[in-house]
Amino acid sequence: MGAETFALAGPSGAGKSTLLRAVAGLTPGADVTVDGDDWTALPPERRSVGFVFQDYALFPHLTVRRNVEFAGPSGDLLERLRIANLADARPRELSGGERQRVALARALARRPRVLLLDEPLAALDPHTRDAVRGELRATLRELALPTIVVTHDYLDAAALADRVGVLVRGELVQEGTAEALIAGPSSPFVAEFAGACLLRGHARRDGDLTRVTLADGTEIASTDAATGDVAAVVYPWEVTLGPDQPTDSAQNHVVGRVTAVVPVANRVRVTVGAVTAEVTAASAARLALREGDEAFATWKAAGTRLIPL
Amino acid sequence: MRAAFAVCAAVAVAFLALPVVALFSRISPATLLAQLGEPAARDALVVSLKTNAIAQTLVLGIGTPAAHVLATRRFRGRDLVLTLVELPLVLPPAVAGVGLLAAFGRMGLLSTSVAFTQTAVVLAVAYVAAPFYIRTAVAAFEAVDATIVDAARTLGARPWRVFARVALPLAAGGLGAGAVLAFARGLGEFGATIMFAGSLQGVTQTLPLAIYAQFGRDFEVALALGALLAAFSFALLLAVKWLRFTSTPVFPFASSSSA
Repeated sequence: MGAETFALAGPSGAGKSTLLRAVAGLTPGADVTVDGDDWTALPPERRSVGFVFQDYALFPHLTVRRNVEFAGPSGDLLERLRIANLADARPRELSGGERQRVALARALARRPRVLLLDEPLAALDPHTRDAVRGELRATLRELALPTIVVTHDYLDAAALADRVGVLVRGELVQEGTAEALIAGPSSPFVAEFAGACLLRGHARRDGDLTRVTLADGTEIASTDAATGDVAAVVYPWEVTLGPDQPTDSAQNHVVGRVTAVVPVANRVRVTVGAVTAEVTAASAARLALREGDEAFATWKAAGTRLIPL
Repeated sequence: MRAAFAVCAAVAVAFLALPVVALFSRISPATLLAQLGEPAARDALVVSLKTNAIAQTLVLGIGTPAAHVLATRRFRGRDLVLTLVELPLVLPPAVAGVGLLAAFGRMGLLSTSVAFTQTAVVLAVAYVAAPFYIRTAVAAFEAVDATIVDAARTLGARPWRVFARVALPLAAGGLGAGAVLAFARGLGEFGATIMFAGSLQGVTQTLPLAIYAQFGRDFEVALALGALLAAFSFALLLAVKWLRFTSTPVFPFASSSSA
């Protein structure tokens, strides 16, 4: 495999961690080949992997320096991961982000051929998570090591990896760049996992357009060609909200009651009927939408993906 | 109700403390120390220390790897094996003595000539003390986070290094507590020893056996030896509490791994 970061994303129980443990040799019995070398018969200590565990699994009885040097000489790793000032601290004295950097430094001290990260952001609180995600992304770019990241969060996968594979019940259902998966999800599951809302309906061709009749009679349009039962993929960040019916015929819209208004970082997710819109906090404030209000959710007909069911 | 409960607590503590207090109050500390200089007392002290030191070395040396295997491997009949290991804890000492004779006696299963020698004392002490250590050690090794052990393996440590540098230090508090408990039990061992090794002064007569031999003959020597054992046991129990208290703390973020 090339020196790229590959994210294995999927819901809990999809077999992501099992796959990672199999590569590391912790779950025996799986055929593992890395760059033409057969690792199948090798015990974990003879496989050249840098494994960062979900809870980091630092040695609680050793200092940061001894944790890192357990695997090999620390070289400039403490400096590179900005933990040199913590060299004599014990893991229990560290913050979540610091623990993660120690775990990464320790994995790298092994001089691994492959880096394996199991839910590297899951043990962090939401506030730390955003900052650490950015740091980790920069570190992974700099390392240029073949890396597999396992995550149940599509945003983490998209942020950290060059390519994303979606794993469902032990099967790789789609693989590509994060953008490609969002632009052309192969199944309703992938679309939903990537953050889309799905509108199920019946499609028929109408000139250059496809018109989809939803269960409640609403009709939406798409530039994708399809007939029969389909799922229309609508991403929250492509949806705008308004109190009035839009007049532009190139726009799709649904009308409904606002059922949820949830702030996420500096944006607000507003659910109108079956569609969720993600708008800036400023525009949410301007609209002053509250649960129970009637609103129109609007998005472009072009770029509305249709997945045959 | 609070008053009644407090009275019960006072009665219980007084009842349990009284014999120990009596041991120390019957004769003056000076006489107590002088009695320990009696030949019978000195011989018993030497026999006890020597046999217990050898027995403890065997218990720790063989028991630690054994406990690690029992804690980390899942195999058929594991519960049965663990029960067998724990059985001497509840076995009456007389049964242990008969059993040891039936196994190692001249007419026994292995028909050896160790009965009524110092080796027999070592075997009897190891037999009754080992379960205390192994049971505590199994629990201590089981409490070591499996993910941390996995991490050590992925970092290139062979099983022996994982054991020495990770499992052993993380289980150290529990292992220490188990060792002290086993030592306390071994030092007080009486029933199995008297049946399997006899009570020959200077050879197989340990401190508890000397107390029994002396109390018809010279009650003050018996008292002095009793006081010595009581003081020693008290110190050991206190050490166990201290070891438990300072043993490896519980770690945050020790959640289960994702599926």
